[in-house]
Formats: sequence, C-alpha cells, structure tokens
Amino acid sequence: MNVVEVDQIQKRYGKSIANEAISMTVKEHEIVSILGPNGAGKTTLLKQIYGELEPDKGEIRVLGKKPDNVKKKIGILPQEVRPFGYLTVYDNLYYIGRIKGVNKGILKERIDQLTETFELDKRKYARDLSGGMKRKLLLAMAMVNDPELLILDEPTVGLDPEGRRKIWDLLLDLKRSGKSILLTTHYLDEAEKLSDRIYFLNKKVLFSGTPSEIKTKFTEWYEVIDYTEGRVYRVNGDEVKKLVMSIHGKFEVKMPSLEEVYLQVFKGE
Amino acid sequence: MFREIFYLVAMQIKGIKSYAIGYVFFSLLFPLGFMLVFGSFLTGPYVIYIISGTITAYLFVSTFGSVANNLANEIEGGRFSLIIGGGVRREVYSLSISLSQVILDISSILAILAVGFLVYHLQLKSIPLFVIALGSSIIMSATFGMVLASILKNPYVVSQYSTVLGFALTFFAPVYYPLSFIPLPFRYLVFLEPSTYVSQAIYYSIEGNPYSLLWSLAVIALALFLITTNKIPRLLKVIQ
Repeated sequence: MNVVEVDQIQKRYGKSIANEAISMTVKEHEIVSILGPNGAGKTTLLKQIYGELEPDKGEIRVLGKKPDNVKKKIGILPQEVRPFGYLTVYDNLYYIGRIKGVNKGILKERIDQLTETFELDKRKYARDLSGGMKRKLLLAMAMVNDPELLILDEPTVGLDPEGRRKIWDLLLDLKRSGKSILLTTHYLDEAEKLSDRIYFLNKKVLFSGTPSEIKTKFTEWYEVIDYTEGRVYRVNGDEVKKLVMSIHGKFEVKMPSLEEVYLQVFKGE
Repeated sequence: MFREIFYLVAMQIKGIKSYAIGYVFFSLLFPLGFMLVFGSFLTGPYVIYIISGTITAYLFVSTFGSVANNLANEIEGGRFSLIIGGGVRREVYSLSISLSQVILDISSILAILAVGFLVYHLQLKSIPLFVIALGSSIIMSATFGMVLASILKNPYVVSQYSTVLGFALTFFAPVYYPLSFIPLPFRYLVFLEPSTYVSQAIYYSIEGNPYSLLWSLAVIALALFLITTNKIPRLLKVIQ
C-alpha cells in the first residue's frame, strides 16, 4: 500500500516553477529520499505533501486521505526551524504532543522514551542546546505522536558524524518497526545507506529507483584501486577482468558511489 | 480547536518567564510611574485623559507591536511551519498569539485602573461600555499587528516599524488630550490613525457616555476593513 501518492502536481511561485508534473510514491515500511541541487523544489514538494502548501495542479494523498486530514498522524521536520527556545526540552515535546492530540499519560511515557533515545536533558531550555541537540529535539518533536509517516527535510544537517550515525540507526529501526519515511538530504552517503528508493529531482523527477538500480543505469564504469601501485583506474565492465589480472598485489573493485552518479547527472543538466 | 488554542496560549504564556523582568517593568511599573508623573501636571477633567491615554497606549500599541513581532519571529524561526504541520490552522495559530498577548495586557490595564481609582479617584461610570471598548480595541489591535507582520515580513523590519508606529500613533493622535485640541483642518488627518478610535472609545466609556459605542463600532469597522482589504490572506501567503 502507498502511504504517499503524488500525482502530476505542479507548483509555481509567480512566474518561477518549483515543481512540474511530479508523480511519486512512498510505500509502507519504506525509506524514500529526494535528492537534488539547491532550488530543485525538494522543500516545496515536501511542504505540499505535509499540507503546508497546496499544489496548483495535481493531487496528493497521504495515508489515503488529503494531507490536511492526516496532519496529526504524521511527523514532520521542516528544513529551517528552531524549537521554542523559551521552553524546556520537556515542554517543547509536551505542548507539540498535546497539540497533536496525544493522551497525557501516553505522552509522558513517550517523552521519557524520546529524551532517552536522543540523550536530551528534559529540564534544559531549548535555547541553551547546541545546534545538533536542537536538531535532535526537533526530530523527537516530529516523533512524539508515534507517527505512521515521517517527513524529514534534511534531518541530519548540523549533526556530528556520531550523531548522524545514531539518527541513521534510529531511522532504520523505525523502518523495521513498520514506519514509512520520506526525506531530503544533501548527504549522498546518507541517501545511499538509508534509502529503499531515491528520486532525483530538479523541478521535475529526472529519474528514480533503488540506489543500485540508479548506479547500474547511469554508470558503465567501475573504479579499480591498485593499492600496491597506489593508482585508481576507471574502466568499463568488460575491461575490469583484464585490468585486475594485470595487478600484482592488493586491489579493490568498486561501483561508482551515488555521489559520482549525482555529479554526473546534475552536471549534464 | 479549543484544545489547540488552549495549549498554544498556555505555551506562549509559559514563555513569559524568559522575559519576566522586562514584562514586570513595562507592563506594571512603567505605566504606574508614567501616570503618576504626568498625571500630576493635569487638573480637572483632563486627568481622565492620562488614564484613558495610558490604557490606549498599552492596549493598542503594546498589543499590535507584540502580535506583529511575535508573528514575524515565529514565521522566521520556522515554528509556524512546525505548528501548521502539526495540524493547527494558520488562523488559529495567529489567533492564539494575539490571545496570549491580550491575556498579558490585562494585568497592565488592571494596574492602570488601580492607579486611576486610588490616586486620581477615577469613577468608571459604565463598566459595560468600558468592556465593549476594550474588547473591540483588542480585536482591532491584534488585526493591525497581523497586518503589519504580513506586509513587512522580516522580523527586524517589523521590530523597527512597530516601535516607530507605536510612538507616532501614541503622540501624534489625540490619545492623551481631547480631539477638540487639534485645529480643524488637521483634525481630519488623525482619523487615519487607528489609535484615535481606540482612545475615543475608551475615554467616552470611562465617562459613561454612549457616544463610546459609536467609536467602538468604528474600531470594529476598522478591523473588518483591515481584514477585507486582503491583508490577512497576505499573511497566510507570507507563511507559504
């Protein structure tokens, strides 16, 4: 079952087109990433999916309904947002939970669980948290209502490598527990590690698929690293065997990374 | 919807701890000092103007300034997106910001009235007229603040203009003196200032004069004018 269905949507800001004839889906228990350069319309697309903006044309269904009707069942993390600095971590979670209709008793347990997971001090004022901890608090706020679908706009921006890894593990755990996640990111390794499917977007969907499908489709070459000589070769598939046979010592054969594909695709745009 | 408003207002009121010193000074101590100093220069019927004027200044200027600044900051800080994404309608969130400001203003108005009663022996001749005047003024002030935020958008610009407008609308309008003090050709100009309507409605209500109802009606008409001239929908577009 599709938890998100976007059908031929179009969005303009005055004369400028942000999204053009976009169709996409997110299935149950799936992590889907949207990749694209700055100004590609990723945030605009997410805002339409979680109901902050309305498309000019086309239709969006989230959990089988119009986005406005399911806002309390989903969790969102907008791109440029700060928590309520004048409230404590606990209050930020408590009020957003109550506004989303979470029962008081359940909410207290949920806050305990989330603050422990994200290593947040409940009594601390949000304004006193570091940038990374603020992002963690915002993620916890997105998850406070135990949503069926999480929509995250650059969830790990500002986090240190360890923090990013923890969020990745958490998102993968959420997926395993049956949640669906739609995210945007500029970290290609993040998209590669987390995503079941990826959409490359620049106003319109350029292409989509699993990370390996995309790599297979867009690159014909392999990277061969000769550790003995300290050289890196890029060779076509049929030449790999020949090259490998000629190397005397340790070597590694790699498919190009998603980053290579990304650069190749958007350079040619 | 009421639960949402309740928690949104409670959340904002809770934030008062962060600026408690400023709040106590500007909402309670400043009006007391201001009224005691300037009230001592006035005699006879004009003393009422120091009371109605200070209520106008606090009710109108403080409300529109705070609503405009809070809204602009919430939009800039992305918290508007967060709350709207949490299933709260834009209008409800704007309303809750206005409502929390109004609740905070009540303490200032009570402090002003207390000085009026105790020091200047004020007689509030019609409580219903006074309540109507306050209610209509609050609605218009909050609307004015929302419009200001929608037009100026940037919180730094909103902050500057709300300060400038606050002073202009307090001291270049008949807030602390009668409308009749202004020479006739210029008197028409002050009708362009919303604070004129608020001050007159409050002054006449304290006097118990039914004329206050007309001014309150004008205040409501002004609020409706602001809403229907497509300014509030602009606010909603700004947030997008």
